[in-house]
Amino acid sequence: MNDTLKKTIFNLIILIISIIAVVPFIWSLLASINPNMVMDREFFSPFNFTFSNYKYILMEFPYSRWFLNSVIVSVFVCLGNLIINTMAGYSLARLNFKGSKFILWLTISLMMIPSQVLLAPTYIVLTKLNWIATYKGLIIPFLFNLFNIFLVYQFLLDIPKDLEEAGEIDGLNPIGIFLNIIIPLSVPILITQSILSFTNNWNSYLWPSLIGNVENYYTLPVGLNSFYGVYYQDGNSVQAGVMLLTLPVIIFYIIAQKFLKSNDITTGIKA
Amino acid sequence: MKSFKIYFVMVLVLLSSGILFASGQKEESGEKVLKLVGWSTTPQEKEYVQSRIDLFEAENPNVKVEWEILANEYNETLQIQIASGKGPDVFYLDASWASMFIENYALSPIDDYISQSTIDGFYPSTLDAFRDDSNLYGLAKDMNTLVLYYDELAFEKYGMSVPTTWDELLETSKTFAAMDEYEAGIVLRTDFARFYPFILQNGGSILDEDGNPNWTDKAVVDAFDYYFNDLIGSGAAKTNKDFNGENEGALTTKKVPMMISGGWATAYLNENGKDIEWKMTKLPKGKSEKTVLFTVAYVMNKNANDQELAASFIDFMTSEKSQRMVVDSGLAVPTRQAVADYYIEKNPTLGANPEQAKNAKVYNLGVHTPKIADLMSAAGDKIRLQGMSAQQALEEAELEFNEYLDTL
Amino acid sequence: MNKTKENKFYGWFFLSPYLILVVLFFIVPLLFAIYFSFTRYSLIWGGIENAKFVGLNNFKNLLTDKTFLLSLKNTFVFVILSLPIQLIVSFFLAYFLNSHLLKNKGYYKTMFYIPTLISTVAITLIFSYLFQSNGLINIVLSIFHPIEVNWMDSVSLIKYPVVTMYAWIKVGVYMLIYLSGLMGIPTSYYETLKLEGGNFIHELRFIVIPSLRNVTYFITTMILIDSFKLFDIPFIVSKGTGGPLNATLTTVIYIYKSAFSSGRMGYATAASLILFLIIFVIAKLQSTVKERL
Repeated sequence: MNDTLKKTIFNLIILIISIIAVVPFIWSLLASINPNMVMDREFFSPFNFTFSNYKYILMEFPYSRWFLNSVIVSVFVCLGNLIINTMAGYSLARLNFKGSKFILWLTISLMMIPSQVLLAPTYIVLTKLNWIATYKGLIIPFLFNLFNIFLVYQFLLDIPKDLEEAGEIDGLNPIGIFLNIIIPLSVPILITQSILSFTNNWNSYLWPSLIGNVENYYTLPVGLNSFYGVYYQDGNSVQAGVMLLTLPVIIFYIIAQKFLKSNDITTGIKA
Repeated sequence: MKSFKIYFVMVLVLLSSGILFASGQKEESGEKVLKLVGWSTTPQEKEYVQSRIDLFEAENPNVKVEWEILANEYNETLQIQIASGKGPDVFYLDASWASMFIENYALSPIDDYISQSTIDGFYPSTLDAFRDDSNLYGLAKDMNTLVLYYDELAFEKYGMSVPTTWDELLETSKTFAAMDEYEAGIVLRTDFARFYPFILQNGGSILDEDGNPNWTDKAVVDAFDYYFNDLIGSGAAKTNKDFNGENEGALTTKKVPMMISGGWATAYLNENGKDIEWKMTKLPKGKSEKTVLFTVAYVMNKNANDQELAASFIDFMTSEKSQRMVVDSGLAVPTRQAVADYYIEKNPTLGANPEQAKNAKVYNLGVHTPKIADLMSAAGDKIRLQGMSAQQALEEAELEFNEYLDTL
Repeated sequence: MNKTKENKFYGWFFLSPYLILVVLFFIVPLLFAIYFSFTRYSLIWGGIENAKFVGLNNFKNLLTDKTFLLSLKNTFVFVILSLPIQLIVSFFLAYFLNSHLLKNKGYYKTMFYIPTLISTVAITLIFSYLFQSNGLINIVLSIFHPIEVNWMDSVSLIKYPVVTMYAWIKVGVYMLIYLSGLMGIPTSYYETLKLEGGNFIHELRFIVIPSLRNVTYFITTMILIDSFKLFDIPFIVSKGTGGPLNATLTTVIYIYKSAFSSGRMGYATAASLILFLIIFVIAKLQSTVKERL
């Protein structure tokens, strides 16, 4: 088998896999603009193109307000995550001190607690702080993320020790090393982290619906869910809602990826 | 590398300023705040509830009603709010959850504030779930009963008549199921709430007078047999799971000509049922005419700040005037008998829904309703999926329920 | 300041924002939850002061609770099926995406990640359609052997659609992590191998897999923890019941139902502590294995 053929087959296979991956998304998209695709989930039903579902949501609901709330919350949570998780991950991975192993295991262990049983107690804490229905309540408890701390930790483990030592010889303290050596080296993982944290927060429903339970503080998923009736959960407007929720975050993802590409780790671990 | 440092500092500044600007929420004082928690199915429903709230505020100028709408995870959120010590003053409560709240002393009785004549104006069955031995805890805001929906076009085309008894239902379903045009005669859901009417119609009851399970009673077993073996097992009926979970959708896409659902389904049928001529009628009767009634009430939290105010709000929201607005919105059936005529006058084709209220039993089996529903649905699944006999499935369910009670 | 002291100071300094937040918003609530596990408590009783201490009763009852034990068994099945699938698929997706043979990587990266972005509800809807008795899956399988079963309504089969959906939603994330690991492997390694005449298998065996040891450990741990806590998909698929006949009842669904529909918060927290212990032991084992390798 020659190389061109191999290449073509390989590309074809990946193409097929990627198409399979986006089928549910495409289906949602089609359902949102096609009034005929209600229950049948048929891709090939007679095609009528309409934006009425989108119009319905954008006109009947304060979409822009919810969107703005979502942006505020997701941006702050994402930035806070980048700082706080990266700091914690750095400390755990690179600064060997008494207690760091314990904190690491504590971090991993806490992930094993099903969050469902913590809903009520955490809500009680937030009530005591008077943070229900405030941006503070929607943002601050989510500024750290156990998963991401562990993620950063694992990646920083792989950085060669001599880079740090070079920094030490230059007279840098750990803060200097963190800012001047570690951060530039971990651009790919920071971007990965920001994607995970942003998308995770953007789609998060249960917590924001508990904390931001006043219409002014609805985030997009909470707002859109506020009209999916109890008994009446179908219809294409729901799919339009799904699209209006998903498209912004896909755009964010594509931009973040571009950033990753342009940096292309020239500053990265290859050094 | 410099740029990263700058970026980092910028982020820090942004972050802290964000936290600062987010703070500084002050509560306004001087007026009484009444907090209401409920849900809303459509923007129209939201609008009419809001307009009633506005009227209440106009009549009580020193009162401000805060209405919080919860769509999903309603019970969870409500319970969490109550656990945090506050909770709303007044909230919507589904009848199936009422016993749990009443028996755990989470509600305040309202009889002291509501006149007997007001209470007498309601269909008694709508208030059953919200009573204990001595007190009444809520007033129902609307109700729905399970009815039979059918596609009149199908019945006219084949010269069939709409079934009114179990035998007719089975025969008609079999006839339609045999046609190529239809996948089955009727679509049935497999959760307990939907086959509960058949148990009632057969003279069965789920709990005896002492609250013990009564499930191997012949009336119960036979009802299971009819529903899961005669109808579903024979192929005369298919379940909603055969139609990707869709019940109403199976009717509107002409896969079946009959369907059982509550009055709320009309909203879906109006929107999606343009290809059929859907009609509503009473459930086919067994030994007696019985159906299940679903209702939601306004109830008062035990911790309500101003109980008198909360009660007067409940009274206001369920008043005859309010209920006329419910009717005008076309979304639900009023719970006051006086308004029922107005409803039928407005919706002549939907009369079956309120007419059945007299023979309906509210969907509430006491504090263990969720567990009982689980076990009953599981018994149905055992018959349907594993071919177990109804007798054995129900014996097992009863055994499991007794074990469950022992662990409490 | 000597090195140890300096490390200690800065170590805690860097950890402090995280520790303040985690104590306030995780550990304090967790302590409440641990207290609940020794009590009889329903959320609608109001404040915590209403919880009644019952000692170890909840734990004792759980160990003989057939439904709880069944939920643990189901969870183990989901974990055992999900772990290899998610690990292998995410690895190969990342590996392919990193291959020099592939054109238009950016587009594929986006497409592979999209499943993690759409709502779980939308995904479960389309999947249950695919797994219907007359759905696409059966049509394809019928080429080999006629099949007419509704996967979504079958006690023995429903776990496969659930596992598939779960992998569908999750592999994008792990792929991304694998990818950033792969991108960190110096190209010089590959070049050396090429000079020595190594093939694709050699590349995997001598370069990629050893270089990604930490990443693989991380992802394995995450899949383990996450799949032991599996909740969303079976919850939505079964409309919150864990059915048909408890086939999709994971431990966390049981915990959720106990807390919110049976009003047994104490029982639910006790169950989650047992689940925690199980995950902890397995994660500890796994980390020991990793140290040995």
